[in-house]
Amino acid sequence: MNNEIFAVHFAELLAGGFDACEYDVNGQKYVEVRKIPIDGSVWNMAEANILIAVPSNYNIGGLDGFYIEDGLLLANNQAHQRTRHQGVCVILDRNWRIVSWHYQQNKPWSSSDTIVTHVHHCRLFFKQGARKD
Amino acid sequence: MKIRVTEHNWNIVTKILNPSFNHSKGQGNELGVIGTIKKVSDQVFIVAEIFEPSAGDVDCKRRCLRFSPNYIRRVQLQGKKNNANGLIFFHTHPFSDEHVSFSPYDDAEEPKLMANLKDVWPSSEHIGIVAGKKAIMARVYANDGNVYPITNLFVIGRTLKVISGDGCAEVTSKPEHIFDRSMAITGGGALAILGKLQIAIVGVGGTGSLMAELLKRAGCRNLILIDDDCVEETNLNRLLHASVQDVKEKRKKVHVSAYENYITGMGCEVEAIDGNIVNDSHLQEYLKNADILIGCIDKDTPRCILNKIAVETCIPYIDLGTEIGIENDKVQSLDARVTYVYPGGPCLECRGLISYDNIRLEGLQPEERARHIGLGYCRNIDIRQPAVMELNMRAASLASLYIRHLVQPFLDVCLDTDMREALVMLKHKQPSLKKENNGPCAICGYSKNNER
Repeated sequence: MNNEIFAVHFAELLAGGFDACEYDVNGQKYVEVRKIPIDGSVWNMAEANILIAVPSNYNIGGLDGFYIEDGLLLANNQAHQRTRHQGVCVILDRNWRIVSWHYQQNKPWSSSDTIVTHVHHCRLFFKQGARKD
Repeated sequence: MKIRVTEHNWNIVTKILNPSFNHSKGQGNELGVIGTIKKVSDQVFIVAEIFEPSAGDVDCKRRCLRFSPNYIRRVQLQGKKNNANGLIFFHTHPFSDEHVSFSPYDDAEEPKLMANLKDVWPSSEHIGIVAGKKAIMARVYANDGNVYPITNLFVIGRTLKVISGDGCAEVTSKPEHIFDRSMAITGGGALAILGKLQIAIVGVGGTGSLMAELLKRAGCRNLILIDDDCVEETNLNRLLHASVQDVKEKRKKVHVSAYENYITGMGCEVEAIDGNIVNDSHLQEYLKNADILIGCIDKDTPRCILNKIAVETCIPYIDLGTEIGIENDKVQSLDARVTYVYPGGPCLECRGLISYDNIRLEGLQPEERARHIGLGYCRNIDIRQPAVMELNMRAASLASLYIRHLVQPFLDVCLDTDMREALVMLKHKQPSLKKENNGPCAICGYSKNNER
């Protein structure tokens, strides 16, 4: 990993007002972004924590997908359709569900995502959930 | 120190300078042209852009050439704007043929010009080149205040030209007897060029070990081998020179290959680097000094890094790949591929040979990777791909021939820059029978009429 680039991007994330922490779990780097405001009328909570796996070859290796905490459900107490089929996994001694999510290789924006832009895209999931479910 | 220039830029330079040597048409004045350079490593400059002179930009009086201040200023401003590191000044000596050198006038005036440039552009470094009809001499005015000779100028495109910077035209000497049988496709001049090139092979596994062997026997004298893997039992079906003892002793693949090269005694110097370019930025920097990069790797992350180095620093890059396509437990295809990346041509990324999904997955730890693969969007890169020596040999053989063709095109046509051999598509030529109409063969009794 290019640690210098990651450090710059992570600092940008913090400077953008996000409550974020980085962790290393057996050589796998994760970034947790906490207390992301979400629509409480659609979800069963008003804030969400997400977990993003950062590849060791960041940022040649880009970011894709993320986890939400197991207890985060839609307002009707159903799991979101994009997490329904994924099992629960334990990371950092907490239960998470991976969101079924993937950037197409020919995505419309040509530049590679940073941790900052990826978090912005992840936030859209919570709005998309509001529209679809 | 050395300079790399694209074929495109070199063609512009030669088009401007060549009339200088056309004495029969009454020309023969000294001519010149300026370009911008970028320094890509301690040892290597690349010519970034060439700026064709307009009327009055280059003036020659009494065999003394002078670039107009306007021309220099124009190129300098453009260079600064494009993050260049300095300028390159080409000029001719019209009556120099196979030997050329800087004149006393050059020696007196050029340092003044360079000093003036340094005054207005303090961090810059500049190059002066004098060209005769068949030779060039080049020197760099470096940041440390010294002047260093340029050893070689590499012209990189669909072919690879290497021009010595010492002012002497290449003399084709009779090569060693060892290479007698390969002279048809790699003549004396080409052999001399091969001997000068520093070729880096990244990945010394099934294909890379073969590449090292072939290049050594083709006449290469300077190889860099890079790999951080040890020989494993499952490598023995295809890793050239590797033995069971190497597995037991956990010997590194680069050391096995380097040792075998040493005992061959063909004078090829091998630098064996036990390293991985993915997490070693120094190694990535070091590779920028190589004259040809060869990728023999089955992962997209190092392939992506090599592709980037090649494109940014103007190094010819040859990427090799093999694939055994299996569906429903049956072999569907056997493919060998050689792709040549050169300045002005498509790179691996725009050819679709790099998958960013693969790169991302390669960077995740196995448990995390399994969860991402489990979503079903990406190919499972953890499935061990089948690999056999026969197919690796086809790719390595093609790549080695490709390099020979780069330095001395032995066919009338340029080779395709993406060569693929699909074995299941090969047509097998039916043997013709010499005595088809004269009865059965006297030795074996075979005849087409009584074929069983």
